[in-house]
Amino acid sequence: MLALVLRVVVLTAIYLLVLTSLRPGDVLTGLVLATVLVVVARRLRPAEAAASGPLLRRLAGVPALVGGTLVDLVRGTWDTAVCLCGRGPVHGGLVEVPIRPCARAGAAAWGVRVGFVPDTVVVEIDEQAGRMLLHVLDARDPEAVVAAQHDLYERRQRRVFP
Amino acid sequence: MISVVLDVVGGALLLLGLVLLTVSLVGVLRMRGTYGQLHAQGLATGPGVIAILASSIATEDAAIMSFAALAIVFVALTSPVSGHAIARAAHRRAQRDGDHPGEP
Repeated sequence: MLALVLRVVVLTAIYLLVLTSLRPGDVLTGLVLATVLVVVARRLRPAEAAASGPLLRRLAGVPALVGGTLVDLVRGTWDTAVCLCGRGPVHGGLVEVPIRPCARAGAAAWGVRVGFVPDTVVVEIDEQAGRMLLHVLDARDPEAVVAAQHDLYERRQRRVFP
Repeated sequence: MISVVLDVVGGALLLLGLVLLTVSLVGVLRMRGTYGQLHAQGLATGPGVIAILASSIATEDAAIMSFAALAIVFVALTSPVSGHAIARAAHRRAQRDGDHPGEP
């Protein structure tokens, strides 16, 4: 129940931010639209929402996810800029990262988080087969890339999107 | 005092964003393979645009900053998806044509 209310509040807040308005009519319209969206989404995919774990535990992991992703973004931006100003990704290549079979939301979050950083490009991701194909700037040590991705998943993402 | 600080931070973010966009443009022109170009464009569509949007704090206008914050969230969610779509298309084309998958 708390998760549903939170979703309605967040969606309404986004609606009001887009309108930059706090008039009662706009608030009411936002609440109705958000409620309809949340109810429809819950009816379409009820099982996945229930399987994601306790809401408060997931929310507690959000700062680590956002902050850690920003750290990764800064590091990846620096590496990519240095690489592009030099000779380019001469050691670039594809690396297959095994991922444990997870929910669609977890796989999508993993792909977005990794693809957001410029030094990695998500080529393929298959949550059912448990496999993600990445193109990285330095693929000389694929095992190190795989280990780093698993480490980042554990530290940043697992609590929020298991 | 705060206004001056916000001006300086906003200006620095704007400069950073422009530098990243320039590096990205140079990278896209220099790189040959699709993946290399995707790494380069990732600089522009991710941190470059975000830095420029974040420089809106210098305006000290809540409405503009709200729009910028929403735009940052939108960019953060959509830019990896677009990069992935292009990379997957390049990978499948390389597989179909028998090219080296690393540099389509």
